[in-house]
Amino acid sequence: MAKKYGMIIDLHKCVGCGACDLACKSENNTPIGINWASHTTETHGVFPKVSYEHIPTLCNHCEDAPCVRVCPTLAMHYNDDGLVVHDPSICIGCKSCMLADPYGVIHFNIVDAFMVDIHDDSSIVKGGTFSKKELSDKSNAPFPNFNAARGAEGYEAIRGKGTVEKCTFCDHRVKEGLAPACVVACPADARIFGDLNDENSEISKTLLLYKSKTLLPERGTKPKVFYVRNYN
Amino acid sequence: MHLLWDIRVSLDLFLGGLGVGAFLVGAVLFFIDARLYESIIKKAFIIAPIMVMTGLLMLLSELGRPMNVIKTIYAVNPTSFMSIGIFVQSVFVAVALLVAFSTLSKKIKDINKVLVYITVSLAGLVGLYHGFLLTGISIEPWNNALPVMFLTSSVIAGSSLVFLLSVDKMDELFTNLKLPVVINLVLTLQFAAVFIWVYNLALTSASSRHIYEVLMSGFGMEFWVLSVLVGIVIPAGLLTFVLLKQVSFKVVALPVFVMMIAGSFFFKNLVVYLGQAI
Amino acid sequence: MSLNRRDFIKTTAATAAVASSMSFFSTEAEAKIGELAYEGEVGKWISSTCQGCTSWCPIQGLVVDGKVIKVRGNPNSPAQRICPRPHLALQQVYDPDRVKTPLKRINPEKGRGIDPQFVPITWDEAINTIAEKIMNLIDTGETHKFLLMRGRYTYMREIIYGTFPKLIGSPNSISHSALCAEAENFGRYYTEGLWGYSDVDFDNTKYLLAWGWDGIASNRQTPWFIKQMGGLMDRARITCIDPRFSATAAKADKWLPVIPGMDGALAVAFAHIILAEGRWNKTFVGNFEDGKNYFVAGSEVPAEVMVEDKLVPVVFNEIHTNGVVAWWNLELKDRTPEWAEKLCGISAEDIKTVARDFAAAGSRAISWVSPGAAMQIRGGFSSMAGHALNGLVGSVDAEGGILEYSSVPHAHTPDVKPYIDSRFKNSLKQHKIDQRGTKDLPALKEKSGGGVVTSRVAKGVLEENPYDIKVALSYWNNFVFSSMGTKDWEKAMAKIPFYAHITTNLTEMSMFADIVLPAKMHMFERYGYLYTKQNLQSYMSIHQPMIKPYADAKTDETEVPFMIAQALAKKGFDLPLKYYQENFKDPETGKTPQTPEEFDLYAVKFYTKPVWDGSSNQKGDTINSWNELLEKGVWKTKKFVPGHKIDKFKTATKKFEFFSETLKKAMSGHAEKHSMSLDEAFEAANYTCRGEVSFVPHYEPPVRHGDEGTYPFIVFDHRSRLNREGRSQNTPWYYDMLDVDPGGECNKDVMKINPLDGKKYGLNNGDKIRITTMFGSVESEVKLWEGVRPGTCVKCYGQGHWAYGRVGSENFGSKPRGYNNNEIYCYDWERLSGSSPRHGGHTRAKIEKI
Repeated sequence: MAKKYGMIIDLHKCVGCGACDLACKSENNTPIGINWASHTTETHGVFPKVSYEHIPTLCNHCEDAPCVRVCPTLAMHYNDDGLVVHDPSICIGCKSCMLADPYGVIHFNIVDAFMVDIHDDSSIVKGGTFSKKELSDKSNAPFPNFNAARGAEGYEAIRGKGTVEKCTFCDHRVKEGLAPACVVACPADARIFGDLNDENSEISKTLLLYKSKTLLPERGTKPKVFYVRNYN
Repeated sequence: MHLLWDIRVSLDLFLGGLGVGAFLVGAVLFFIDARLYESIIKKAFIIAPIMVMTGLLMLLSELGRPMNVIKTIYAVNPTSFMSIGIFVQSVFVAVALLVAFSTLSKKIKDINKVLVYITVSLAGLVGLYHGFLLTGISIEPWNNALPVMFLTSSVIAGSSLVFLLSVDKMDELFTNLKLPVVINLVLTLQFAAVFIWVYNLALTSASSRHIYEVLMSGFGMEFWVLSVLVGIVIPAGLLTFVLLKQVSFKVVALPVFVMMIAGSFFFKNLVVYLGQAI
Repeated sequence: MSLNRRDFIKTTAATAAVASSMSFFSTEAEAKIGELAYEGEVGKWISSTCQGCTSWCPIQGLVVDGKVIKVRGNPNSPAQRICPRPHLALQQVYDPDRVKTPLKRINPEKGRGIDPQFVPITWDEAINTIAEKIMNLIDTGETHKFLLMRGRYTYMREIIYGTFPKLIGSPNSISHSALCAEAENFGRYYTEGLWGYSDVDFDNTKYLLAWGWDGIASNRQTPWFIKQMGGLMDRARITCIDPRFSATAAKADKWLPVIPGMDGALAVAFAHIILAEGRWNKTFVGNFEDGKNYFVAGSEVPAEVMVEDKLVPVVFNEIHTNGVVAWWNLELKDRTPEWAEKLCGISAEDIKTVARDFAAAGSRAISWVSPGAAMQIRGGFSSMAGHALNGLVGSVDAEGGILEYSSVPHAHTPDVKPYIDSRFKNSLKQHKIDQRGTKDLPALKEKSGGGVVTSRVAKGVLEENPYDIKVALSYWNNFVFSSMGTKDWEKAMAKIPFYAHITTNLTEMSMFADIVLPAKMHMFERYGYLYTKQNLQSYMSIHQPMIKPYADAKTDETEVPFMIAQALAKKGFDLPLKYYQENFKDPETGKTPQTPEEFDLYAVKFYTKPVWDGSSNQKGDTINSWNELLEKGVWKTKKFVPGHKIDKFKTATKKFEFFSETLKKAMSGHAEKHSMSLDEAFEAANYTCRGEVSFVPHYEPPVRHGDEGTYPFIVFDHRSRLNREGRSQNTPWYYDMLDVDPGGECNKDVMKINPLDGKKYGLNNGDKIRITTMFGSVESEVKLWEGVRPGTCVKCYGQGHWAYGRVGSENFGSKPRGYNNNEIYCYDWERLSGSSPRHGGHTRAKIEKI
């Protein structure tokens, strides 16, 4: 049977630390301002009866994805495992997907990311401290901690100007049998990733155990990111 | 705020609308009396592809990777209005150019009628597509009223442009075609479409109601004054005065056409903007 | 040739693709999550240690093509996980503003905002200059005028901090510890006899009373607590006492927003209820002989009572504690919840409920004091009071309770005495520059002057008391920024005639340096080791150079002192070099270190030998070679078994002390040293207690600088979960994620006030404000937030650098980004421990819109 990957985020376990967001940044080479894994936070109540909620967010890899529906070239498409992924080589950069996406998880590259890292040769002490360009040159990469493996599967390791990008459920890792970066980085083990079509998978079993929620269910997008339990 | 679709998209919809509207009015006159309206039809058929192409250029400049547009020929998504629209527009531009060349090289009455039939059908589709492009995104501000609303807006603006370029023929148009009646008819249709749009916003869901409130509170000037008053109500009123013989058509024709063109732009721009203001 | 961007990415992708895929961790050792393991990635995972806080987590970096590109928790460590902070270290090690070569100052004028005009020099020139300055001190017999300051450290500190100053004749090894948590340690030491950080048995805990403890966000064992939190919420009640709605408060059952500095009042009220209602742990503390409860609110325990017309003495058979009756009589009898309510802002009802629930959990109830509740001007007793609650419920050294920990084997530093030049005898006897143990600064770590008073160094230098400092060397520190008294520090650093800073970045401190030496970044570039604990397992974690630094950097703690020793030897003073060469031979080959690199390696092998030579295998993990330690990265003990410390506490009575004979002894020593009475000693230390109450945990009115009329807000601070102590503020990721702190705002440094105060003072979200105290005036932006009490305002510590780099400061060298909380705080101390009261609460502020 075909795979149908999904993710559970257990809000009871989540402590809102942001390790997922940062691990995603190192895994996927996202520039500042573009976070595939992100979060929303809210403080409720009135002092001293205060409560707080942190909800990690990412692409929901919807079964009925509005971004795929409107993409004129199917650059945004479902892969064989049901992940919603993007092929920048045929993207025309029309941003329809971003307009159609009710979750705000698709991002547009207005400029070529990390160009500053490659070209900025200014430094605070001439000859005494580095410049971005010097680190880029020394590391033979846009920036030293650049993760080339992100681009190894025909996908651009850094998405260029004029195209959109979003969470791919780390499809490049999943192909290798690895869990997405945010999942392995979660210190609270709050994320479960797996095959929804396999009834013995941890994700399927957990979905039976708890009542789950998805974001904006009224949109009928059938998200595959599920939230169980409450932050507090 | 950074707009995903800025004024260039509005300009595409507006200029494309002008082109489509111009072709539609040209074709109507062509089938009524190609000889009598020769000069008007000529102008209409020539400006139609120019306007649509200019609009498309605007749109291309908005795209992140315009060179990839060529790939839309084989990378097709049947559920994407943009994907279908690109084909419809391309074919329209191609045949409209053919018509335009025919217009320049021979007498209007000698132009192949079948070609005009095909082109005018495509023009209608393109006119509808402008609305569907937004409606297909499926967000509250861009509801189902848009295709008709944009089409009528395009017809009004496109014909206004053609007539503006033919002020010398104003008398003929007035007497032969009862132009104020026809225009008021279309304006009424347009008004109805706008009403449906707003009505849908106000009543469909909580989030669309929110858009309605944003529209009324934040964009009152742009909506009520520039789009409704300037684009529909004042022209309709002035033309009614003409019909009541209170004023001559010649006096109001120029401001009416200019207002209707401007109203079309303001309106389309407002709709495009509102879709992203949430 | 200029490479275009696309080629760039292609070539590097190709490089990575051909890099071999290897994993030397067995599949079982790798933590599995969901159905997909995370082994088999391109590159090699190499072990090291994160020091973004004092959790000191074993980590691994994925090294591809000579570069570290991501980090994860070391699967061999107890927690196996990491918090968000190690990820930021990638941008720290690859910070484009790092110093890449030694620098020399050209501009002799020193001060904030003055460009030092640094120019690159060679290591030879830099080290020779330093050695020359030291030789001058030796020649003039003033070696005590040499000052060494350290901030963060690995245990390789023994070289530069433990031995080097002694070897060149200076008593001045000054650590950062008093900026850290000494007041917290004070409370534990004078009740339980432990000068160290507790561990807890969360697996079996039923109640957590968290005093300013924000364990899922900061310090210590952070990833372990994060991992535990969900389960802990299921098993236990969590009450968070914090003036700010913290990350932990967000997960807790109850948040008690105590007024800053009033923790002591709250703690004694809890104790009052526990005793008055007979809820203490009778098997740990003991009971009245007749089983009646004589702890009656408002009265002392009577010496004798009438029983059947006979006067019978009231006897309390105390078991594992000391002085519970004295504590009641001297302090607790009047400390009712109603009394406390007025002071601490927590309702009497809440105090009663929490005290009852806490006591009901008995020996599985933990009262955990962290620096927020202790690092206050009179916080020493708050710290004691908070910790003493564990004694009342008997959770000290109990299953599910608060615990001590096992030790980790390591080699001890070889004796330096035989290598100390006889000329240094007098210099080494001199008092230290931090004025510890002076009349007003007891710094009672075990004895008068036993602890450091870090922030007092500035005063010592400025007053030339006890003498002037001529040469200073410091590493991994930034006291000009991180210590209170920033203005005094700036003046003091400008006054020192010669100062060399070993650092990764040009910090505020470096801006006063004559020589700047580039340091290797601890996580990825150098050797070192640490030991600490997580979840009842103590462990040793190794640092190793997984990448070669792009900078011409050296290891601050080992290579630099060795190079100075070599230079001194060339100048005719060879004792330090002899000490290092003769005592730190390669434990495997016996080879004498000839180069700094060899010394660095041999020294770390020397210290860690007891865990890698197999001799500690029976105490924990099995490791049989140096290479195996490098591969595994971690050696851990067996699980700590509670129950063996009771009645063997390192206190004067061996008991858990409510009446601290230990403190009495230490303070008596201090008073005698200065020929004072005990009452005078407490007065000099700025405490209000007189008489015997001084030796039981008691309430002390907090010090607040500034009057309420002019300065209506009590200003205090908190830490971001992204603060790598003070070292992540030049990383773009830090700013991009700041909203992971409750109340935080990305890319901003906001002062948080309650919306009611916003209304009162006409302030709205995003308004630019001026915050003024008696000590300074700064600009910020306001955020209205319900997570802070009206009348108080709170801002995160960490931003506001005017140096450090171009991300951390708005204009490097002059204009800060945000502001540094220390700029508006008083310059004062918790004097019993010598601590800097770094969490605020002691200073009042006014806020004006600008």
